[in-house]
Amino acid sequence: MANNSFLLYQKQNTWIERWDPRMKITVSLIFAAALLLNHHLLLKTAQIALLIFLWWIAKLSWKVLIITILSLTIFFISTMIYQSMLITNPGDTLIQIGILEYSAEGALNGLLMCEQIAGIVLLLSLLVRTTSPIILAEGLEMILKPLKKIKLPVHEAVMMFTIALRFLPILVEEIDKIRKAQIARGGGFHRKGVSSRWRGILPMLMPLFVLSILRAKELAVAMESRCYQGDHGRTPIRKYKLHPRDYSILAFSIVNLMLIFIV
Amino acid sequence: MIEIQNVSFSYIDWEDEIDNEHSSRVLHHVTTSIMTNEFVALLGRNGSGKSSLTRLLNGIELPSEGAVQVEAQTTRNSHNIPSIRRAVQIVFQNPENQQVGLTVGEDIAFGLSNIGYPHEQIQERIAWAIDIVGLDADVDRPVTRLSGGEQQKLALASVLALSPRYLILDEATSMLDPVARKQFVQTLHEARKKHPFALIYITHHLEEVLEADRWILFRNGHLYQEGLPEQFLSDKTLLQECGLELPYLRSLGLTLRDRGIPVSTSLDVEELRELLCRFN
Repeated sequence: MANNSFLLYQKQNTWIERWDPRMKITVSLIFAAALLLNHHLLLKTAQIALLIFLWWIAKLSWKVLIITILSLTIFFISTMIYQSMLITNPGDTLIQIGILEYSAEGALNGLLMCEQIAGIVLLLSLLVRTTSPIILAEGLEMILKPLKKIKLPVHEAVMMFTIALRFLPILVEEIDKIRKAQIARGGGFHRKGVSSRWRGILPMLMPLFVLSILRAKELAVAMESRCYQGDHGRTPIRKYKLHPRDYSILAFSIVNLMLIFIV
Repeated sequence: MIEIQNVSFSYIDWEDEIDNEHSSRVLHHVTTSIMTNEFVALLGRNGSGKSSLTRLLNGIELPSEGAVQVEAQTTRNSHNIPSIRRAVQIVFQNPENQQVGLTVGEDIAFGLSNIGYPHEQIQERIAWAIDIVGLDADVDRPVTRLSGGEQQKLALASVLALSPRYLILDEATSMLDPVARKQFVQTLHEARKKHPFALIYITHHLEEVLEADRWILFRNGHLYQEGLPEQFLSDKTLLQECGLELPYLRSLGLTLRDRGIPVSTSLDVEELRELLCRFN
C-alpha cells in the first residue's frame, strides 16, 4: 500500500479549509504582492504575524512551522551576507559580525528580505496545507476558464496535474522497490561516496521510466473505458459558491495591499 | 446482447512488415454472442486473446476484421462509442492503475462526471456504490490508504455506479490474496443479484467460474470450445491444452471416480469428510 505522507494537506475541517479555492488563490496572490511590494519593517512584521495567526486558526502543527522556518536558514544567512556586501557605508556601521559590517540601511534591507522569504514560504505552505490538491486544481481551472476560449487546454493541464498527484506515491514506492532490487543484486546505491551513489541511481531510471509508461498506458485505457472524453459533457463533481466570508477575506487582503501605499 | 461476428484483431507492430497480416494477430475469426444477464467465463492461457477481445467489446480497440455490435450498435461508428462504453464497463487487473481520484469519493465520481450525471445526485450515487460493494471506507478516505482488496472493491464500485449492462472482469482477482479474492467474488455476485447485469469473467481460477452459464475456451487467438462448465470439468486434457487446472477438489473427485470410488462430480469438503469417515 502506497503512503501519501508527501501530501501536505491533511483534512482538519477548519474555517480556512472551507474558504472558496478561487478566493484562496486570488487572496494568496494579493497577499504575496503585498509582501513583495512592502518595504516597511513594522508592516511586514505584522503581515508575518498575521500569517502565523492564520496558521494557528488552521490548526496546523507548530513543529512544522518551526521546521519550515529553520529550513530557510541558508537563505537567511546568504541574504544577510549579500546585503552586508551590497550596502556599504563606512561611516554608519551599526553591527559588526566578524568581517561582515552592517550599516543601519543594510541590516534593515537584510531583515526585510528575510521576512519576505519567510512570508512567501509561509503563505504557500498555508495554501497547500489547508486545501486539497484536487480542490486547488479545480479552483485554478475555474480561474483560468476564460483561457479555454483561446483554445488553451486548461482542463487537460489540470487533469494531468491531478493524475500526477495520484501517481506520486506509487512512483515513490516503485523507486523504493527498484532500489532494493538493485541493492539485492549488488547495485552501488548503498555504497559510500557521492559518485558510487550517483552511479547507483542511473540504473534505476530506466526501469522507472518503463514502468511509468506502462502505468500511464493502462490508466489511459481505464479512463477511456470509464467514458472520459476530455472536458466535453462533464458535470462538475463539486459546485463552488462564494459566501460573504470569501468576499470579506478578499476585501481584507485588498486593504492589506492598499496599506503599503498609505504607510 | 453483444454480438461478435467473425472478429480478427492484430496490434500494430511497427517492426513487422505492414503487409504481413499474420505477424501480430491475437484473435482469429472469433464468432460468439453474450446475452443480457448471462454469466460467461473467458478462459485460456496468457496471450490467448481473451483480454484483447474484451477491449474490442467497449470500443477501446476496433477489430481488424469482422464486427462487434453492442445492443445492435456497432463499435465502428464513433457516435455509438459513448453509449457502448456506458453499457460495457471493465474492471482491470491492477486496481492502482485504474484509479483517477485521490479519495474514494473522487474516484467514483470520475465516471459519473464523465457521463454527465446530474451534479445534485452524484454524492447520493457515490454512497449507493460504496454500499453495494460493502466498502468499509468513507468518501474522503485517500485511495492510497486502502488495502488491495478494498482498492479492487473501489474499482468495482466505480464501474457499478455507471449502471453497466455488461461488466467485464479482466483477471480482477489475480492480485488479491485468497481471502480478499473470495470476498470480492461474493460481493460481485451479491451486487449482481440486486442489480442484474451480464458478467464476462476472465480468470485462471476455475473455482470462481463454476457457477457460470457458459465457458468460452481460447487457444492461440482462436475460440477453441464453448459450452456449459460441466462439459469441460471432466476433460482434464482439454483444460490442460488451454493452460487451465481443475480446482483441487474437482480433480480429486475425478481421480476417485476413475478408481471406482463412488463420489459426485461436484465433490465438496463435506462429501470428502463423509467419505474419509466411511473408509476410516
